[in-house]
Amino acid sequence: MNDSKFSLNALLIVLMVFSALGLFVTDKLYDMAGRMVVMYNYAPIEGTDLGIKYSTLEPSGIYRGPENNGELVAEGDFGYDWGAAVIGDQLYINEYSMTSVDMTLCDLVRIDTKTFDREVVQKNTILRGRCRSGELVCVGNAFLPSNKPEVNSLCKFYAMTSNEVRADSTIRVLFIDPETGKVVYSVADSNALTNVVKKRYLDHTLEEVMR
Amino acid sequence: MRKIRFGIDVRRAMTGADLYVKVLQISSILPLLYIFTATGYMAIMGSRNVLSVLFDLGMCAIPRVEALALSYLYRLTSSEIFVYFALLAIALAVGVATDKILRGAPDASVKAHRIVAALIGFDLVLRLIPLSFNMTFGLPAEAAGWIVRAVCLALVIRDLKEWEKNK
Repeated sequence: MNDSKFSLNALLIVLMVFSALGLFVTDKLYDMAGRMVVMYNYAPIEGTDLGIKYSTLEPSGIYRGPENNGELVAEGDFGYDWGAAVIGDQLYINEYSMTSVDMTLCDLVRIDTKTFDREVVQKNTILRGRCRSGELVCVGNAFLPSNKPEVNSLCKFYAMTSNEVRADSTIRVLFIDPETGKVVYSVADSNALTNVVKKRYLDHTLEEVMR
Repeated sequence: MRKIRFGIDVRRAMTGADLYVKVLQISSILPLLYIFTATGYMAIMGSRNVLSVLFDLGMCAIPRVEALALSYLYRLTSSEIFVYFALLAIALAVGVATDKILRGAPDASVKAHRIVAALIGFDLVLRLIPLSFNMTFGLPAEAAGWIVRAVCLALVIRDLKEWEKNK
């Protein structure tokens, strides 16, 4: 009995040692291989001299000035594809972060376009744009669809202790006051990550949506 | 073979508590396969497959408090690698500690068996509370975890009863 228990403990120790080696090879070498593929995207932010660059050759982030010769003012993986909003000096935008196996998480952040101070407004929230009355329309409690949360066990595990994010279809559309960053209205909508968001929310005022 | 006077394991090869520790250790290994594969082959996360089923089963078979702590650690660090080594470390620590205590001095061993029984009982009750974290991995995996645990509890209680009888 003692021998067999020792062997299970020994197996765990062996696993630990080989995992450390194996994970270094798969995680680090995979990462190096990932950077061999050249990717580049640039999108100017309307009404400003800023642009968002995503590149595997130079640091990704917000650049000021011309596309080819801009100055990096805020480093990070920002998303312009799902929605961004500039209100005065405040830029609301999605910021992506990766877990160690490259699962993508998304937070709504507010960036001061003068000082470039960054503040997380809502964690695990995806900005989709602004409705006609000016509130930010976001999807809360959600993983990015690219993670395939409905079948991804890591998403379920991540959501296990979280009230902010759900791996099932109980996602909510949040209307956030851009001045205060507070949620002023929310509505459950399992289609919030599809194109119906424009027709249902972005093309209406908050009052119309509440009706 | 080591001679011990304590009645729980003089004749039998394995007690319920030993089995529970083994279940805990083996179920700790199951989620590792998925994480390890995902570090090199991300596409595995995009579909339901054998490894994801093993992940779910493993997570449901480890104590619920441990699973919650690991999930919190995962959110805190955003690192599957931390979770991976934490799972391994906990399984190893439990294995080494229980090896010493469950097979040690009779008094300490009986106490340890009682503590194991209480912990399994607490875990079983915790799993029945209708909270969202109790249905994270779906009913089949949750039911499997509950049944495995209930069997272990029954065996530990039987061992303790036998010991009381032989005393």
